[in-house]
Amino acid sequence: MAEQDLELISTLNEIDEQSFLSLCFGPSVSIRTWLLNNAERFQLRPSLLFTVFLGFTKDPYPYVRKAALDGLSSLGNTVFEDGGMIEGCYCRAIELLNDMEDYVRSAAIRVVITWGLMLAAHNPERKQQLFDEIFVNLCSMTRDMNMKVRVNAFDAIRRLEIVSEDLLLQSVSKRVLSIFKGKKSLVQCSTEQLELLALNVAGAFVHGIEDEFYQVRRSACDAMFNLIILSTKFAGEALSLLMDMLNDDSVPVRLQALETLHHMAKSNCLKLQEAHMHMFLNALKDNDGHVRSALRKLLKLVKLPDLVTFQLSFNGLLESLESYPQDESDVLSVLFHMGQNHVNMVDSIIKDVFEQIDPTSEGKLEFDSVKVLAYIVLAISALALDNHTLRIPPRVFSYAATLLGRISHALGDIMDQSTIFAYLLHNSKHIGLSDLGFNSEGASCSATCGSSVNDIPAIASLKIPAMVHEQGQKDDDAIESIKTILLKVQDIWPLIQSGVLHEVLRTLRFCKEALGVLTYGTNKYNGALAFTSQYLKILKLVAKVWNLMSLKHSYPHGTGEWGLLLGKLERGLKELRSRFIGLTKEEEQHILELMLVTCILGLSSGEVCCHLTSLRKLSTIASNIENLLKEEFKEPSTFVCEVQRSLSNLGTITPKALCTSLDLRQMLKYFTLGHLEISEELKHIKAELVISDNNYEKPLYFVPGLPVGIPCQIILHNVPSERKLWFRITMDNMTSQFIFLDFLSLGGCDEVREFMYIVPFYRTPKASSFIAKICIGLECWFENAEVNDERRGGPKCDLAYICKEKEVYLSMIQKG
Amino acid sequence: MAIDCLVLGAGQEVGKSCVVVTINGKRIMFDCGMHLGYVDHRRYPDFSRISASRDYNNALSCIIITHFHLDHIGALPYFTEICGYNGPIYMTYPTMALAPITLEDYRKVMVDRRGEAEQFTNDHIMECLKKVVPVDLKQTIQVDEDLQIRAYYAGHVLGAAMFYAKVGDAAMVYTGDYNMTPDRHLGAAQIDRMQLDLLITESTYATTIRDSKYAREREFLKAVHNCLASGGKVLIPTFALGRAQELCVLLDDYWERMNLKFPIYVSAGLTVQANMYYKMLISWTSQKVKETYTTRNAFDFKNVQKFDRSMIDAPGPCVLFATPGMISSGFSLEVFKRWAPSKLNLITLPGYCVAGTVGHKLMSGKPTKIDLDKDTQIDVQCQVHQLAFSPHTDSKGIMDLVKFLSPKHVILVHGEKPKMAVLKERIHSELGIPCHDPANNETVSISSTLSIKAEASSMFIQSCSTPNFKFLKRNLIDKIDPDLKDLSYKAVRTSNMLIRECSNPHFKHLNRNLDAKFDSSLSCGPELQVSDDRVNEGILVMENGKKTKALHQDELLLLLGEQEHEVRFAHCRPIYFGSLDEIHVKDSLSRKSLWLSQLSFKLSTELSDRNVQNLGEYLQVESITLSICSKENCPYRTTNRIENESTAMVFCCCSWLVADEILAWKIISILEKHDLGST
Repeated sequence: MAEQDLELISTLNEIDEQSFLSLCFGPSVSIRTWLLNNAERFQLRPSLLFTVFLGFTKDPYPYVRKAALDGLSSLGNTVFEDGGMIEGCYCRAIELLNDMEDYVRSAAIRVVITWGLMLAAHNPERKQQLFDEIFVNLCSMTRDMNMKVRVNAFDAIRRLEIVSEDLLLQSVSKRVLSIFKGKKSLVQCSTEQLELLALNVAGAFVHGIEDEFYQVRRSACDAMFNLIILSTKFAGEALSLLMDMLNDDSVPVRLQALETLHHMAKSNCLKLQEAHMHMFLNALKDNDGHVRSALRKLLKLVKLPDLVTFQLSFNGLLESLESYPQDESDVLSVLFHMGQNHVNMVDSIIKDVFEQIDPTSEGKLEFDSVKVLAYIVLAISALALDNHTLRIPPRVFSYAATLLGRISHALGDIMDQSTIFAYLLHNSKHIGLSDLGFNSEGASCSATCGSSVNDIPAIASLKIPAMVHEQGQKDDDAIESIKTILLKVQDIWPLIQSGVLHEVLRTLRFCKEALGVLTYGTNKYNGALAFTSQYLKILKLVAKVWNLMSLKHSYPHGTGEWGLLLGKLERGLKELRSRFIGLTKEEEQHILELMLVTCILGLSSGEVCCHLTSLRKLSTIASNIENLLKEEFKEPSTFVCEVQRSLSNLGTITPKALCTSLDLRQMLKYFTLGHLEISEELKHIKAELVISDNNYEKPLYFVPGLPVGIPCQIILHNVPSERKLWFRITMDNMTSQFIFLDFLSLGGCDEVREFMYIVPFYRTPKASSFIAKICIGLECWFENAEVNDERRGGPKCDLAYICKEKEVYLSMIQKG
Repeated sequence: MAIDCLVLGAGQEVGKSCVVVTINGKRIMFDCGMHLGYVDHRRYPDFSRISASRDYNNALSCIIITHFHLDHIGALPYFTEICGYNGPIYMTYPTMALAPITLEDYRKVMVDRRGEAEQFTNDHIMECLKKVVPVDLKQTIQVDEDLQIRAYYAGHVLGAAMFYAKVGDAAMVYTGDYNMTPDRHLGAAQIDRMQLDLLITESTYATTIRDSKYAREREFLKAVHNCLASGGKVLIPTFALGRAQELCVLLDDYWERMNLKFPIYVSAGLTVQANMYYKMLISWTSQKVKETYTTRNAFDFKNVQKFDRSMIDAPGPCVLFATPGMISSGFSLEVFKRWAPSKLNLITLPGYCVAGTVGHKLMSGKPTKIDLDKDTQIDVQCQVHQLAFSPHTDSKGIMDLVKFLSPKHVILVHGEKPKMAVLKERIHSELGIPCHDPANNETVSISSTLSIKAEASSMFIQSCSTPNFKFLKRNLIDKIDPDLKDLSYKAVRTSNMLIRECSNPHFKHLNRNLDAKFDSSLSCGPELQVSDDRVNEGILVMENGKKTKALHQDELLLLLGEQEHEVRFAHCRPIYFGSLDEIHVKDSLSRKSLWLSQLSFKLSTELSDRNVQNLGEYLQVESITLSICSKENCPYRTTNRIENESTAMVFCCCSWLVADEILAWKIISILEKHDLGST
């Protein structure tokens, strides 16, 4: 009416009570309806509104009645002191439940519940009776022929808090119950009235969940939410209905049913029986992920009555895993909770089962199967409780240790990750690698492993972190875990040497996952974390390269993969060395040794062109190590000595001969991966680069041949003032341009510098549009530049890139 | 005026549904079915009762067919082609599409298998269907100037409808067969709330209350799943239409949800053809099917494939739908012979099988051997599961529908006599609606709403269009004496009677509310009530030879040229005002005013919520006047004696209108107490 016209709106604001009333009482029905619908827009007293609304519920025009009822429901938030007024409104709404028009009935339902609740709040002594009365009235509306009316009725029932048990039971039975028949009336009404009352209520929920419209079924499931706690008998009946809803064809209904069940479980009134289990567990195989996850959430809480149902649930979970492997972590987490809720049942199951978990006796259970994993989690869960008496063979823990990645991933939210890890290691400490069934070739490796595991300080039993850790505690945990991981990592060297790549990768993977969990909880040791993660990456590459090298007998050198991996490895090491501040001498030495290994590995590829540079590198690194050790007055390791000896002999041997000789391989044999003591004070140099408001559709404009400015938002972390930063801008992956970033002039401290910087890009091509890639590099002080194009001036040393490469969309400016 | 309802079939029985209803001069035939239990003349309704001269075209305004089942449509070709009815026939689109299939199927069975003389030919069927006018749901059809019909969704089978018919102000609904709970492929019946004089409803399950179908579905799915998981085959013998689709939807949905890969087969022929119809008639199916239609047609079953005879002995688990439903002959029997001997396999039977069929034998006990004929014996090792889906509503559904529509009369058809009697009694006692269950060929006459065209006066129109609501405070009722309650109730009743005279639907609806309200208000009604006078102030004036007029009540006196008369009640009684000696005022006028002000004070303290006005000559509370009576012989005086001359006994005269009866007696009792208190 007035929405489009500003003038009219301003006049509307001038309408006061008097003119509002005179317009309302005028003969025009459409004006009356509009005014009632928009009454809130005028500044009217609630008492006046109430009178007007209540009066117009008597209007012969249904739309006016509806507007008046809607107005009354929105008035429900206002506090009215007069009980008579509230009751009058409530009773009028009950009359209108029988209106001829469905929309009036819908509106009346909303008023009945809003004002009914108000009335009950106003008369606490009549609350029970009023709630019953409202319930009866609403239930009679659940058989309305209009879908919206039914939905509204159930939504309204959801808001009731107390209803007599008799009525509740009647609402889940279509037949009139005997309590309502014949028996002398409970309240003041006669027997016939009571039976009529029962007829109104009869089977309301049964009809609701059988409804054709999913909206109604969903509301019906929801409506039981508050009522199920009121009566155990009703909860039992409701449970059967809800179980049927798990078989519903509509996902929202299934989810709602599960939510109500979840509420039941939380309120401790969910009594599952064996008969329910088929339907219940079928939902685990539901093809909708949300339904499955909702059911699992429920299973975490549910109390199962006996061993049979427990076993059924367990099997159900495993079967669901077969179809949906992506659910693994959640399923394991459910098992953990189930185990904790049913310790005695776990006891009896585990006892039988662990006979079967034995790779040597060829039991029914295949080692490494999901089932074993499931049983292990179950076993751990029972152990995690303090007063457990369960005997679990130590071998189980050795399996568990190898599956740590999966277990810790699953239990990440329940258990302190590093505790699981330490605990598992502790329990499996007497078992060497050979026991795990690896056919390691190197004789020395098992000894190394055994000794290293023994060093771990025994960390006591598992605790569930119900209590929230202090941040400091968390940080301490983090550094502890990092150290544990580094210890564990050290053990992989013999494995690398013996060529069990698969095992190495697995160990590294779960170390990485364990690290991943830590990333979220700590601030203090971010540097150490980043370092460890980079270190793990490098070890992975080393292992891969090593593996390729040992295969080299069989196929020609210089394949693509080899080169690629070596390149990655070199870059990684470079970053490791240059991007961290506060490396100790030991750490640096450790890195340098790894660099040596990389160089030697590179040399063994046998490509002559690389040799000279590689050899140069090799000698630089070796002398670096020498200098380091001199400062510390330490003896070099056998490996370094061997390398130095070979280098000094180099003058007499041609490069070609060097590479074919077994000399190199021999040298590598001397290398052992020492223990890396990580420094807690490590700082990670990194940068964040954002080019805002630039994408495919919103390019930056340029004129070919003229420079273009790229506005960058930059945050630098931990960049010391003496280091040099460069932008690298590449186009078409071919040409790159370096721009020096003089960050010192831009202020900020070493820890964080945040600024805006416009990076000029000079060589704009004659293209209508192109993509430039931009990133920030840190000059490595220890290495000379290879990428430097001397004509243009650029970084003197090699660059280690400290941020992700960003794409910039550029487009030629259009004339006119 | 009356509605006459002649039941030609399905009166106190199931079969040959046919009801002829006469409303305000129009005659409509609802359904024209045949009885499958008879082969003689009893199979058709006795059409001669419609018109002795057999001039059906003039006797009937139209025929309405609710759905395509033979007991609702079976006699139609006979009636049109043999008896010669040529008028319009109305049915829904799906019924029109499916009717020729069922009719032709039946004709073939009759002629080819049983070798009977044919009642009507294929041409007859085709000719008959040419006379059909198809209708859509909720489409209002003006059959002729006065007669309106409209179809509402009924569930039951594809295309089933309830029909609403209206002539003038008389309206009725004929339900046909309907289902109040939805199933997997069809929705629940859906109808608007309307003013109805008559509802004719089916009552197949007049006394049964059915439990949730979910339990049965669950058992069925579990049995099927278990059978397939252990490598067995499932045979589902069904009829082509309805049950087959219901189960297909159920299974397909389950397959989808559980990611099952077992094949489901449908034997070629009628089922495939029927599925095609379902696919085209999506708008007639359930909400769920309609909703999924945006992404895919639910009858394009993902997991359902056509079956080839050669696959009967193919290994591996599968589900097969085969006709006919009772394993009496044909393909389902053929498959049964092959599959029955294996323990792994499963047969699911419908809820009802005719005696003598294999299905019936399987249902009665668990036989290990079934003798097909003299030479053939089948070894039955397989599991048997029974699954009943009924497309009819149960008694709760019938009650719910009747309650929702609240017609003035109900007629029950299509049911068993004793059960119908029970339901009839329930409708009468629980809902207070008169109910009838006529036998075949009986006529029920009920009164219908009379409609009169009336002119409305401008004042009445203005009054109607201007809101004029009032609030009533009813708190006095709670405080009155119990013996006065009756009186007030009567007063309310009389005013109700007045309101009830109005015949406008709005007004009538209001009355019903008022009734309900008054009944409840006597026990524990709300204090605050609202009324809008404009809707019950109209007065209908009917004079001979003049147009009927609706007037505003204020106009009535004007029209009649009469003065307003009020009936007042009066009562005169003595009141004691203390000794004369104490009163020093000699002047009788001032003495009167003194007494009045004393009374006024007394009353205002007692009736704190009423406005007591002292108007000098008399006191006024609402319509009650109270004055000092100085007459020698007041006619309203009950006692004329003043016992003690020394005391000041004064007569006090009250009069009031009937509306303030209660208040008046309350005041009188206050006066009385005043009297007693001083002596």
